[in-house]
Amino acid sequence: MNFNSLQYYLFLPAVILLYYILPVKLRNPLLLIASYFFYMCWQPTYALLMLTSTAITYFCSRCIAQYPGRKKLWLASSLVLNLAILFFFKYFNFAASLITDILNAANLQVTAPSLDVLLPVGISFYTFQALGYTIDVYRGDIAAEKSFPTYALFVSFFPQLVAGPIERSRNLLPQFREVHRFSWENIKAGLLPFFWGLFKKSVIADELAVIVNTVYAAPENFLPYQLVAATIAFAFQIYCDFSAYSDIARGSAIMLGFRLMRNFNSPYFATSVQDFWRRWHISLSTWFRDYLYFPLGGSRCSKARHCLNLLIVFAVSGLWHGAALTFVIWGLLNGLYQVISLLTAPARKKIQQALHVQDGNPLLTIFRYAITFALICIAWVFFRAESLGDATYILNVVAGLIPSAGDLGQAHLSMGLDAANKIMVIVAMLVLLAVDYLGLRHNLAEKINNTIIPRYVIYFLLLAAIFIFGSYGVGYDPQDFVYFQF
Amino acid sequence: MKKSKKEFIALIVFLIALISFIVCASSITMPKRYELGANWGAFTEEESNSMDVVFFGSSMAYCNVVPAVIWEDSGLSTYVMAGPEQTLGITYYYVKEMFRHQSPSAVMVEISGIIYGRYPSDGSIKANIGYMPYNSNRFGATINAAPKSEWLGLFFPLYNYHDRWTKLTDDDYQIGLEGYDIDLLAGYHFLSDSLAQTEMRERSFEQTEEDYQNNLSYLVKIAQLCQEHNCRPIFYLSASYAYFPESYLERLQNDLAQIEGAEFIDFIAQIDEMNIDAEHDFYDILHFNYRGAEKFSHFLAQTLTEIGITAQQPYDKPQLWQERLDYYHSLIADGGTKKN
Repeated sequence: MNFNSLQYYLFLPAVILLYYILPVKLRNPLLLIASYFFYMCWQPTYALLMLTSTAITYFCSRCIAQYPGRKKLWLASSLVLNLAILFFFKYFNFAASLITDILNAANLQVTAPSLDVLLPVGISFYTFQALGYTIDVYRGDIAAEKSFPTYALFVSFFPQLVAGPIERSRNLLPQFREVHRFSWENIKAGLLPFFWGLFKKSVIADELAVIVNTVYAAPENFLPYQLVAATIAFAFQIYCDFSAYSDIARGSAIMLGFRLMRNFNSPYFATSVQDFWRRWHISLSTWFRDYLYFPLGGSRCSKARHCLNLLIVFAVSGLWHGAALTFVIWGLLNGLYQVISLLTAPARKKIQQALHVQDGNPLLTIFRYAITFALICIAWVFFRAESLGDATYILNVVAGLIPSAGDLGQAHLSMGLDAANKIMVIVAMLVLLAVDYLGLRHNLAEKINNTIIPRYVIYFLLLAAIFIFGSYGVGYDPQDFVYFQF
Repeated sequence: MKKSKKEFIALIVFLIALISFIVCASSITMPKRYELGANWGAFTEEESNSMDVVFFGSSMAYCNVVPAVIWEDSGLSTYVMAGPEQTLGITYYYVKEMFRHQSPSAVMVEISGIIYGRYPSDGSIKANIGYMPYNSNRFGATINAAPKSEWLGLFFPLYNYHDRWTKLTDDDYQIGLEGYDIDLLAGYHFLSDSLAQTEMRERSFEQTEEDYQNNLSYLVKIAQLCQEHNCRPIFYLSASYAYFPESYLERLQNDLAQIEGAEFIDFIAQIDEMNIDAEHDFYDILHFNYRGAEKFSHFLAQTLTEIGITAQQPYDKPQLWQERLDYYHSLIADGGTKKN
């Protein structure tokens, strides 16, 4: 059940209605049933997998609390079992293919077995959320949850189940013990991100997907400027797609009285790659920070170790996104940017001082936005390309290192969208950027929610744009949310 | 004013504005219907209770019946409210909807659709139901005569047509906001091309017993409906160069004879009396071009008169029918290129 489906538009109001009608003690069971129903709409059998992961982390966390002397053993058990499940479903074939390639390179003609299994939707998200909880219990940051149904609901809470935000137990678990009374304030606070998310997904992301899919399916047929345009389109597609999911998730949760963490904060107005990662997929970035980067030593160590820590964290982050070398390189590249940034910081500071440019200088800020965006886009090429070969081809053509098909005189193709749709999507992207820019300085949602007429005008404009320009209905191919595959 | 009251008023205004927007946008983005029947927008522009006979069915109704010719011959004001590949299930709701606007003395249903399956093709469903007025009949037609996969688009046309926003013309805005004009062809679809027919052929088709019974059940319902409205239900097979297998036709005739009040006319059996020129009068084996349709319509006018249907409507606009006739003749002169 996608967030941008009719089923969800019926499911969510029904759940909200029942949630507030039912007696308090029945509300969490309702949410648990609704969450499993929501998940089972994709692949019913994989609900058992989620239940298994839930049971393992619940049991191990209870044991950590009950047997503090052996808490390391129980933590290790939880980590190993959950990561083994994740490895089996997500990484087994990748590892097998890597081993095969290595053995073949060593002239050993061996083919490692591969598995014919579907990747369970959202497995990386709920596994990390459950592992985060176990580590929190291990660290004593939170008491082990006694109620299995409550804990199962924490893992499976439908608004954020399949594509995050990856919630922290400290934030979400206590909310299941609160009594949420119906409040119009919550409904209106939820409707705004809900409609905004739908707008971003339907009007921007899915339209841009047409360009991106067309060009990236056969990059050799396109000219350098088209490859650049498609990469920029992908940068906005993935942002709108993923942040839309987070917005709809937050909006849905707020209407039920739950507060989920903010997952994006105007990422394309980041002034450095480090800043970008503070604004992009915040729930995952902070997860890696708290549960991997800090335990590795973070920045409180030698510079070399600090750089290594950054590379490790970003390589793992790449691997988290997908079982392919392109994702690992995407992660490493982002890590490398930060390592270079770290190593060149003193020199850059000196140049800035020599030029008498202050940090708040608008031109410098715009320059930083542009450089950061360009670096992020280069990395996105690896994220989106069908193969490592395609990615390097695209970058080489754009850099002018090899001629493109267009340069060789071959006819290049349309990028899939007609002129009117291109103009429409550019206007929508400008609206998005304006909103993000204003969001840097103001709490726009709060300001809008405190008004009446402007809020309803915004609801109307968003819905009208979705109805007319949105990617839905006959003749369209509404894309799955990109992050479902992770 | 209290904030909650303001909020409530704003919510109501928002909902009204949103619904109005959806209605207008749906109406504007819907492809405009100029031909191939099923144009309820034009039909509802006709003066209420101004029709003596209304024809229903599929393309064999709207391609083969020329109301202007029938009026010229008999003075009967008729209209063809048929749709492409229309199943009898949809026809039932068409008849029902027609009775909201007209009170004819006879309803003529072309029943070649008896051989159809439960649902027509996707495009035909959109054409047949998508232009019906929004009321219980459209709802009934959608639920009972369209597959579930089409429901969303039929209830919410933007689902099917919102992508037309890049292709909208002045006509889309004008007709979308102001509605259709009356159809000077009164539902007839003008065809001018010819395809010579060499011999009559038996129609070949496959049909399940369930589909046959389902279609028959709608004929029973149509007959009942007509009787409730003091109207004669006349089922007919349009003249064409394709005939039903003898055993099938025999069974059909027997089954129709069981339907209380229903009359049946097989015009295929009478085609020799229509002076049809097989070489020049057909568009294809099932459909006449305007020459054949005109001859068939002369025959229809004569038949209607013979079976006792006379002009009864208190209709005071002969000039409209004269205009229709003139328009039809001008189409012939222009080879059918003129637009209504």
